[in-house]
Amino acid sequence: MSDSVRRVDERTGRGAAPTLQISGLHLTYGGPAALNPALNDVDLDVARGEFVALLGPSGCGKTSLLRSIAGFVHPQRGSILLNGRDVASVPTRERNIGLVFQNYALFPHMSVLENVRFGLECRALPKREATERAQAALSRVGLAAFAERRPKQLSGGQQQRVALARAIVIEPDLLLLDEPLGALDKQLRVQMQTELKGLQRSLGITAVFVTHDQEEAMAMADRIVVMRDGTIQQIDPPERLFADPRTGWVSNFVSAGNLFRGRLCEASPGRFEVEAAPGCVFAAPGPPGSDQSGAVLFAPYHRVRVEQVDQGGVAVAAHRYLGLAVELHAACGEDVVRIQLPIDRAQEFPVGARIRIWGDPADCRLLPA
Amino acid sequence: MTANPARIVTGRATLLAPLTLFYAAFLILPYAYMVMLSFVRFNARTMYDPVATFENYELVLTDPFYLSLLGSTIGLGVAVTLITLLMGYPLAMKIVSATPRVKTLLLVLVLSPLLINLVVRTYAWLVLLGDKGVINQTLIAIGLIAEPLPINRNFVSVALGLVHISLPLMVLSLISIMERMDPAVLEAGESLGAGSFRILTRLHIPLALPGIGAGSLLVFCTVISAFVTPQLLGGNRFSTVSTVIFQKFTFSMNWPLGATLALILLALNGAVIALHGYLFRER
Repeated sequence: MSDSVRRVDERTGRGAAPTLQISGLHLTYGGPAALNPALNDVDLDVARGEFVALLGPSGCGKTSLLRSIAGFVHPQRGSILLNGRDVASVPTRERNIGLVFQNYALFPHMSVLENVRFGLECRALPKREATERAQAALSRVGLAAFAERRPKQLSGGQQQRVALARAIVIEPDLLLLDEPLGALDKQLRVQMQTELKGLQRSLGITAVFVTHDQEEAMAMADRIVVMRDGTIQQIDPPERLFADPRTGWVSNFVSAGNLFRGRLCEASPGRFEVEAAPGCVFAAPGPPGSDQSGAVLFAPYHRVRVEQVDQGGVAVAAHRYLGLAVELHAACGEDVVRIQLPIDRAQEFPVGARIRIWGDPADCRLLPA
Repeated sequence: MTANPARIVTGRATLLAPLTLFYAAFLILPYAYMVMLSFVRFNARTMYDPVATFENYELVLTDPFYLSLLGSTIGLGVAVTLITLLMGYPLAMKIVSATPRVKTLLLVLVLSPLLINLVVRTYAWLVLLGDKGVINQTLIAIGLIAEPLPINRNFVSVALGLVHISLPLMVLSLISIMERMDPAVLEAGESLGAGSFRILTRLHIPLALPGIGAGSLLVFCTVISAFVTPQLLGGNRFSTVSTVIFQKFTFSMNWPLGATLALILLALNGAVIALHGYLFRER
């Protein structure tokens, strides 16, 4: 596999084009009469060696996008460039893409070694060399001892590793992963996330993976592409997505913060306020005099200010433990405002305590719904 | 009332008794009679002499006529199985990948031979294949051939008729396995660089093997024991074990030999089923 690393490095020339360039992609299933496109004007560039997550609820188009890149579906408009080459008329088998499926999709009638060797045989490699490279790929994922087993004699995590070895052994230009860890239990999933990320790093391979699990996207991706109804909502690194969601929907989907809708008023020029409960005012900056009737006010969970009061304010309805932080729930009318605090601070506000909460313009922002 | 396990068991036995009696009377006893018949000596006047002998089996397994009869029956079974497999495989692939509406239509078409009465269907083949049948008359009329083609009352006509009714069995067996195939496995093969031929030979066919086995078993066993189709389409020029059994029992009244042939046919079917069971055992 050191060979593969070197080759990837060689390809990583200075100023080289991104591995993957997608522009204006438009895909409709079931002919032009269908109303809702699966992909609507999608643009995306993935740099060499980058790990990008396609994140969104089911039906958002993330799988359609992945399958378009793989060549299993053919978008009606737009272009996909792989290493600068338009692949519209290139069949899947010639795209040199490694694919990892959620259900592993191993060949059940072949041994682990034969599974991994399959792609090399397709490339007409001499059998001995193919076997050696397949063995090396299996060592890489820690399964050298399992070469002669059948896939169904392995655990889910081991099968997923075989699928990974099978995909990387062909030294693909691009690795596509479709919910790669979706079928594993939580503990194994977290472990595999780290392994997968480490493998991707050390191989310097460009990877795109689909997930509906925002934690998984955060844990692995360099950048996250948030999708909804066939369109891209936002493309950003995880920390930025969290701190600076572009719309209320994105904030909601990645659970970045509280959203206050309606009841927005411009208290003073450039300062918009929502009174969530009597005395609990959240303020955000905005263009003076602008119409913000369609906007929501976004207040990150950990930026909500809180103080104990003797009367008035709102009551702490619940504590929810998130590892080192505690999330306080406070009922403001119909909404539940969430406040994330370090454990020791949270203990100052037990369930039932009266608190006043507010948000400063420095922490809060107005977002389109 | 307490539930007495013993009583429940007796109760079940009582309920099963009529069925047991039915099978004993109409399956086991006739078979026992057939086995007995196959081990006695034929006598034209008294039907058989009560002498225990292996000479019926000896005759069938050494006489060139019976050996070639067995050979042509097995040959017919193999040929029809292979033809239905070669025709049915692409058809099943097409049906599995078709849209629901087209799938229903294709399935009805595939099953249609089974919906026509056996005798009517077989006579229809006679009308088509006879020396003065539609095919030969047309070909002679347009001057392509001078003499009728040998497609009547021989191996070809019998095989054609049997392919016609066996194809649905093969296609249904193949569809049931292909429907359960994970499309992602084939896609994985494609992404690894395999062309259509490699995907077919290295992935699709190996994954369809259980269906190929089940379909071949069904078709082979039906074909070698088929009677009406070979009888009507083979006439007196092409015989199978089944048609000869019929002759032995009805015309030459040689029941011992007929019983022997019937049991050998049964053993052949049993052997094929056992072979299938061995080849496709759970591993």
